[in-house]
Amino acid sequence: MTDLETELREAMRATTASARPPGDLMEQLRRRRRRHRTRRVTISAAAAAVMVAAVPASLILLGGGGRPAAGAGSATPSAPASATQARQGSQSEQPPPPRGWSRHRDGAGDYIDTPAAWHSSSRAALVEPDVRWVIGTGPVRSGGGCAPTAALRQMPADGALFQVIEYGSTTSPYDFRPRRGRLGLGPVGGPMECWGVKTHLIMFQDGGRYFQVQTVFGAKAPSWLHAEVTRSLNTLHIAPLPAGEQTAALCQVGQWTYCPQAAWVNQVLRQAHVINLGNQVTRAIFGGTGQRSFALWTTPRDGGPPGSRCHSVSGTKVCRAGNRLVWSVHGLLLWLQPALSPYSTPPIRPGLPTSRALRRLVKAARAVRTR
Amino acid sequence: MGPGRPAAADAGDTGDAFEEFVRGRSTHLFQLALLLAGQNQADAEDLLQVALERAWRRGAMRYREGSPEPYVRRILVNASIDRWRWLRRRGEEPLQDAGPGPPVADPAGAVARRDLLMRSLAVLPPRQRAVLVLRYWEDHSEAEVAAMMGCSVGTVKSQASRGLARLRQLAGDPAAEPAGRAEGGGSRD
Repeated sequence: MTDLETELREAMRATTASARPPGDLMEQLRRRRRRHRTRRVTISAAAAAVMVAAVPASLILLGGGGRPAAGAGSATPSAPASATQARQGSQSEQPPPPRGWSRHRDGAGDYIDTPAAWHSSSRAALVEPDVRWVIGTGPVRSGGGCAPTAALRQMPADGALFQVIEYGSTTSPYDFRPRRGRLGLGPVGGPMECWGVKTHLIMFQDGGRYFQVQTVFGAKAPSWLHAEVTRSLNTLHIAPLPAGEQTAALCQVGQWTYCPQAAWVNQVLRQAHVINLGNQVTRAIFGGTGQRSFALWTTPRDGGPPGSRCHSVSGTKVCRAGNRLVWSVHGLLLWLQPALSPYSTPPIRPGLPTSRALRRLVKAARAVRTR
Repeated sequence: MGPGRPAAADAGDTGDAFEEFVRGRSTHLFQLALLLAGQNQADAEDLLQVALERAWRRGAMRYREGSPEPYVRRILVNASIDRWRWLRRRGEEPLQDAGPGPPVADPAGAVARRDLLMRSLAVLPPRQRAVLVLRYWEDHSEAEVAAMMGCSVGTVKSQASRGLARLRQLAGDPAAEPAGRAEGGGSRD
């Protein structure tokens, strides 16, 4: 299989992973069926009328027979108003912006406050992820690909620029930590692929939605500006998704990568210096060391680890179950199985980690606490 | 009553079985419809309803032992192609340009790349798109795709090959991308 075929397969899987049909699909089908029957009855009646009484069928149809049955709706109803209203929330409950600051709303119930002199834009070429706001201390010119490059070029040396983007869907929800407490600017890294420069980066989830904020400061930006940007960032108000669409609900229906355990596995990989090679739809995370790749996932512990041929690895009993390794940690069973990530290319092959890497994983799993 | 026909009392059972089928398989079928419809949510909902309602009306549960899924899938594919004939009259939407990315991967770049690929898939002719979706998303063999689409294996091969070539042209060659750009594989911080 070529790179493009692999990439296409993964893109299709990622795109559809969270797609769900309308909740009332069966009801819509019933309506559609009723409407079809009504049409058939109408057409039959009209045809009979034409034949028997030579009355133009159009007259019968004009009499109302051609309309759908009462209650029949469009096949593709627009988003329920209640959902939008719920997301928008009551504006009267929202605190006003600080004095001298202005509020930037997006019409969907989200907003962010900034000092009134700052500038904001939400126009970008990106369709997904969705750029919610590009905010700068100076004028924010539109333009750029996956970063506000035009605004970045114009940023004054003593200024700051930050961008808030939202991922409509993500294949690695475990990368986004739940928003708790105050948001910081995050560590500086890069140069980033899209921005071409180093940026601060934070990724978090709030209300079942996934956000990324990148911030850049000019070389002569005063230190108080950092505090001001952080303050602005913490006014970010996100309208939550309905409870049924939030991470906890997705975890409950068996989409493991949405569970806190997946975030824990991700941290364990990081601590053990094992490369995260993406995930297997929502079932497992891939790890890679050397030329081997494997899948990792957890299940609740029910008794001791299954399998035979157990041996101690750094003081933890690790057992073999077929071609898998499993051990018990923090009330969970952590499983490893040889598996090839779709992102892997030769000479990477499916295989269990080496003894050395396994020791690192066992130690990291013990050290990183589950949430 | 002929021997092949079910008793009238079976109608309720059939309805229940169909409802159960819809409950169990609608997510997968909706995802298939979404890909066939070029990620247009409204079109995908329409397509799915057309396919399911047609299958229901024609009693797919009654005269087909086992799952009606292959039948529904076939209607879905055909309806998506028919639908495109209608949509074609409204014109095609141009793709936005996306240049190659600079050195370090960040998740926005990876997602943007995936988005470009999916938008490229959406502008392929529906037969090519259907072949690629059935082949690479549903993991069917060329022979199975041919049976499903009512064409020869050779046609499936040529449609897949043309589809991939066009994708390569629209979205670029992933081999030319920097290594480790996949989600989870690149530096983020």
